[in-house]
Amino acid sequence: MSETTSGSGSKPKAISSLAKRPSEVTRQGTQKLKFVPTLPARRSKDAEPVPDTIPASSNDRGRGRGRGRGEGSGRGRGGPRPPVEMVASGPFALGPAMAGTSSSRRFAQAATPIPAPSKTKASSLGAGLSQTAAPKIKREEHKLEKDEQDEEIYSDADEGVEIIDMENVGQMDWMAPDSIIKEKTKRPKKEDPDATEVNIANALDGDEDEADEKDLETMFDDFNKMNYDADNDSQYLCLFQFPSPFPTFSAQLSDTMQTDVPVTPGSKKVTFAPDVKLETEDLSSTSEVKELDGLIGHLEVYRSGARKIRLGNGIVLDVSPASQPSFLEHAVHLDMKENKLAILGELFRHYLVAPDIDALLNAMDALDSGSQTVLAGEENLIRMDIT
Amino acid sequence: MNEQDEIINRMPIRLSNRLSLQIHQFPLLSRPLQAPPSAEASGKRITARIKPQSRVLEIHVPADTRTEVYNSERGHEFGKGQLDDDREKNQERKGGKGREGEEPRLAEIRLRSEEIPHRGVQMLGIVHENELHLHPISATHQFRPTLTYLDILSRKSKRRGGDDSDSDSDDGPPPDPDEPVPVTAAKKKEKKATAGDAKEVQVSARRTDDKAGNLSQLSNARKEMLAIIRAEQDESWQDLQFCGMTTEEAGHSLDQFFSYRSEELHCSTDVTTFLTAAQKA
Repeated sequence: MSETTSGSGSKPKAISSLAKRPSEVTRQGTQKLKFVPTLPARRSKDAEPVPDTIPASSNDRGRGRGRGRGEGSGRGRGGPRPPVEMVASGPFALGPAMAGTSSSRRFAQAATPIPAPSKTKASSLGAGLSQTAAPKIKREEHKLEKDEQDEEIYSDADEGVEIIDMENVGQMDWMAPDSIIKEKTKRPKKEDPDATEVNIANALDGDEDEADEKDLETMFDDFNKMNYDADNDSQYLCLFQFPSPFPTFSAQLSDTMQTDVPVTPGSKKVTFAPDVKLETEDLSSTSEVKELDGLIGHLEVYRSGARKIRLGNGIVLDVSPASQPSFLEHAVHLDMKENKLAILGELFRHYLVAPDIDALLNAMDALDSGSQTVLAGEENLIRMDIT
Repeated sequence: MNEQDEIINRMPIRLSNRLSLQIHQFPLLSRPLQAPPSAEASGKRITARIKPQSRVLEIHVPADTRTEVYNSERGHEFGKGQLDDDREKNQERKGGKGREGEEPRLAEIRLRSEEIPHRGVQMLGIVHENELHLHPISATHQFRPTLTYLDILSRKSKRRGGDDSDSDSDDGPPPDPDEPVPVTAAKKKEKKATAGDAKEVQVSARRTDDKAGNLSQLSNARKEMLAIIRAEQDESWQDLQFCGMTTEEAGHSLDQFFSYRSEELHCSTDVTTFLTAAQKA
């Protein structure tokens, strides 16, 4: 925004000079856009633009509009929108033809709403909006707790100016942006001197613990919610990140396997458990993915909020919540045979699965000690660690 | 954990791997992937296409073209750019929708995918009837909008505008920092002396002996990268039918996701494989 200084050097009539416009040409030879501060310029009309109801500071206020909302109520008129007689200003001021190339475009600051190229009046700017909120992904539902009592009351709207609370912008239209969610922290009032110590302790530690507790709680609620919500049963898709390699499973080996195994050329191991359907088994020569379908273990939910997965062979895994992404994620089935891409749903939560350390260490000990043969007379000796 | 920690719920876990599942992430999107209602009303739907060998997907989402939120002139400008870009890369949509008389305009957002390598084994889990059904995920893709039409437009404006501006779109790849400064063999320089001394100095420089004898000055890694990029550009798109969450096909796929057999699968590995496999790797 370096070109503003040249314009404001002239004698002020409380309006920075707009008559003098030093022509600036960009490197590419096109007309450089002039940033017009404070009062909007009228290109083809003689009358002075709107009087100083919009003083110079209003533009700065406009930038901080969202934050300074509390003070906005006093100047409710001037804050959110300029008066009705919209005059073209900013990058589209000179009409679409002069808008210049993208490299030389300078966007006016956020305070100036960009008029549609057809230069419709302000009153009809809001007319075509659909007044419906944009859809949100499921994860965010619990964050939106609006306090009804905190809604501010503005001065009455006049002359067609619509006053819109910044937090409600997202509901104006399908394409409207999301406003930043205001965190309403409810801190206990520190009027009581005796209680100040306790409060300070709360203030210091509160935030850290809250996050952890929240995670555990939400995980706690998850599985219960998923369980008991019988109507919408399969809507909660979760991503589990297991350590690699994932334990290999195979269809149950029956006792009579040895006699039943037919000798088919090219196939390594064919198991014929009595309840396995033949057509789903992979009988062709060793393909890497054998079709699996069956029970592999249990997920145990403890009262303390911990979760463990118990699979066969003494495998115990801990389940903990992973960092949750804030963006959209789809679980998708890609069927190349039919050229179909089917969306199964949006992911709800991420979980991290790791081996339970106690079980793992015990198993490692067992593995190590199992591989060592104990010679006679060695029981009383201490084995030297040569690893 | 405490000994008194009691189990309050115990859910059986089932595994199946019938489908080829993928996770599609949209890091720049925090709303559901939907066509805007105005576009749906005019019959536009989300479409997708894939290059199977290069493992690249594209999802095309129709854009909201109402005048309140859409700039038509820019739309036409970008549309033309996109058409040119498509023609260049041979990905023009064949079988025009019968609107050849009209000017093209940018009416869709193209999201292009990038495959993300997995860490560990990813499984999708759904709780169904008090049972956790797991299914392995074969690939994860991240989708971001492609704005390649801007490249074409900026190329045109650069050609029109500046003569001496650096246009690196036509030059080859930037010089490899690992390579020694490329000096052509037997280069001659002439230095014109200043006025007064009419001396002519000739300087020649010779490149040091290069064992590889590379004339193209590109290292192998860069060659491989270029080969991959070229192969990807040469491959043609295959159209996919995009079935949203609420469609019948999606319901059918979801049915196939679940495990139906209740036999117990036999586990042939141990907890210790987690560590021993990591040691070997």
